[in-house]
Amino acid sequence: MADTSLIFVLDASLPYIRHPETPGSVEETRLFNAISYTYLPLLRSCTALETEGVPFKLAIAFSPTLCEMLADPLLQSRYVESLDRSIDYGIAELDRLGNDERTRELVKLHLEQLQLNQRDFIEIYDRNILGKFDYFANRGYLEILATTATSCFLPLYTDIPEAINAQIETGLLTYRKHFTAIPSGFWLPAMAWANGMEQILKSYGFQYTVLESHGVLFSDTVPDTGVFEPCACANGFTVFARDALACREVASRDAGYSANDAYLNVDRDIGFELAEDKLSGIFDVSLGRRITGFRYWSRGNSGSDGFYEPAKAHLQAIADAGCFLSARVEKLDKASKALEGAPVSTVCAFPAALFGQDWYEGVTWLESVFRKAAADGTVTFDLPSARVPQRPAQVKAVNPCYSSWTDSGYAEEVLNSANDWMYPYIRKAVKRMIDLAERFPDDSGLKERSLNMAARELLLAQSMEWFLMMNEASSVEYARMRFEESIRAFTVVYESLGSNFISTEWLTNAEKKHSLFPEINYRVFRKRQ
Amino acid sequence: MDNTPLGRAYLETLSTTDLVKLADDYGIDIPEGLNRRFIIGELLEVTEDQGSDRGETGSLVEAEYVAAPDVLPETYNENQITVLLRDPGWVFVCWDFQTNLINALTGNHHFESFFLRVNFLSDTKPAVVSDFFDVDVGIGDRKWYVHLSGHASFCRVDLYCRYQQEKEELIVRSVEIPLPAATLCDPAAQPKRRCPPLVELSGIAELKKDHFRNHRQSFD
Repeated sequence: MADTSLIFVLDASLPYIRHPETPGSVEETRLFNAISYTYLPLLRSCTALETEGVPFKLAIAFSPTLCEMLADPLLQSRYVESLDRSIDYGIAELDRLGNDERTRELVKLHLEQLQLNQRDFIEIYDRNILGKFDYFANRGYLEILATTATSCFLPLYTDIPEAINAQIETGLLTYRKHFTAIPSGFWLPAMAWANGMEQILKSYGFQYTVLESHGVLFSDTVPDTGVFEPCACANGFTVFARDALACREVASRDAGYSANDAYLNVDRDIGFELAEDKLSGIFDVSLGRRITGFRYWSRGNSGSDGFYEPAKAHLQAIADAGCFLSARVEKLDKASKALEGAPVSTVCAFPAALFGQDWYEGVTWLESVFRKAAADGTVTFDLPSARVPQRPAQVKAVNPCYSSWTDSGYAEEVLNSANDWMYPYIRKAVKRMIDLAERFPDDSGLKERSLNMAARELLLAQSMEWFLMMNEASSVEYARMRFEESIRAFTVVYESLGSNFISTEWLTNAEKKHSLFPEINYRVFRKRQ
Repeated sequence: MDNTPLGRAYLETLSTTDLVKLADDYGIDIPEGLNRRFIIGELLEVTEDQGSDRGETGSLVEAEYVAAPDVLPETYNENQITVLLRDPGWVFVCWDFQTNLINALTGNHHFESFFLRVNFLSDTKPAVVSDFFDVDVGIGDRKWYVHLSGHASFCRVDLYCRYQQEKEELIVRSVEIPLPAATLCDPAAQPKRRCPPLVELSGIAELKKDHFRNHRQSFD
């Protein structure tokens, strides 16, 4: 049998959102939804596959901001509280619905999932779901990639390498806190690549990253093997090209498997539809409407008047997994034949949020892919590190070109008339931070705390999510608030260090508010000698 | 002078008269009628320099309050220009002026306009400007998107001041940023050769179509 394999890579990323002063803020629910619909179901799938001896392999890049939120006791407690409220609400909803059996069945289904999440999160994982992912990594099922401290679009900082180094080093520091492996792969936020990244990444000991197809296929040194084999840069650093078309087959909003009419319409949630008084038991509407998870409609209207049918959706997910696998096997076989039986692979990288959040049945689909492949024996799964060329010097060198996995393929989403006003501030702050790190190389005590605070706020301000949210009318205000808050906090420290005065009360409050990266070292911004 | 912390937040609380007095204490010459924002900028710059001169090992002193600035500054009062590559067809350029300089330039009777000179540079060392074009910008403009019509290895943007009947004056020059290969910007520049079978199987034809659909404005 030809040596053909599929490589799945998930980008598990969320911006750092934590509002200790505002319990129930709508923004914090992004984390809770990610836990409820993606990470807990994913862990249940992995557990089931492991228990049943079904082979599966998956690479995941957990953003340090997500790790810090998942490990945060305040957010963990708030998640548990939100589950409690949802369960109570579901029970009350069953009463309210009376004889509406069809809807009651869907409420019961969601209630079951909520109770399962509650049990898993509290009793099985002791609120530490990262520990279970680490367990699967240690067992060889998962590979956890390192990534930047915050989701920074690195190509826009290539002229300030200290900014890139600081992101990578702080990301690594956080990785070591949450995971036991030594990462060999590095996930570039948005898979954004620019010339020279290979030098930086290799200098930190990373062996590979994943790029969007056109980053490799549009380069002036296109590898003859296309996206079917990893390739090496001139310095031996390996790049995998994502198979963009295969991923589109799955995730396209219009024509992907995930868009099938049978699947749950995740946007049509009672949190956006019911009157305020009917929702008061589950959240405070004055803090913003949100996803509750109580959803009764399918994506299309082809079924019985558009009502969601879980069994039908489940079967569809299994069928779609089969179609996806057949298409991959066919292409991989063709590729293998063209290379006279040489090993070939296909890399499918997705945002983790696709599975469970954007596509409710996504986790079922993924699990079905593993099960179907095991049953058919037509293709295997690999971790990227297993496919890194052992002798990169023997592989034709490629020079990948500027690229990202955004819709535009480049930086249009993070650099346009809605968000370009942010760049003068962020770049000035980066330069000031480098200056501070140079001026205060050996400081300790209050000064060190202040400098660490400045570095933390600067990394937060670089989060790509604020730039992306500026494109959406509903999130502009929040994104602007968060970005300006971080720049202002940075500026306070900068000016305080200039004047030698600082308020420890202010500093302590700021540290409590953004309590991520407690081990940060501002010296990561120093220039390399 | 007392030891009041001279942060922007504190300075913002002072009246313009107090700011002028404080600047005088620091030996800063403030032209009459200068906007208070620039007086604050000058004060911060001077006190920052003095901080550097003092040595950096001094401890921070407790201040009773810290008031973060309510709004982000409109300018950092420096001559600076940045170029960011948005996609193979466009760069984003943003710039800032030192207030004294822009006042002096625009106050000159011969002043005509500011303009950006977009330079395309070769891959040689030293890099040589192989082509350039100019884009006029307004006095109040601080950003511009520039279409990359030339094909070169690097791009650099210079901000100039143009005078009537006088030689143009360079104000500030950006760093050189690498540009993607010409084939990315213009499909016509791509060699007309058959793709290797696995590159075709990778979907190169569809990817190129998508690229053209998304970025065709770059090819005009």
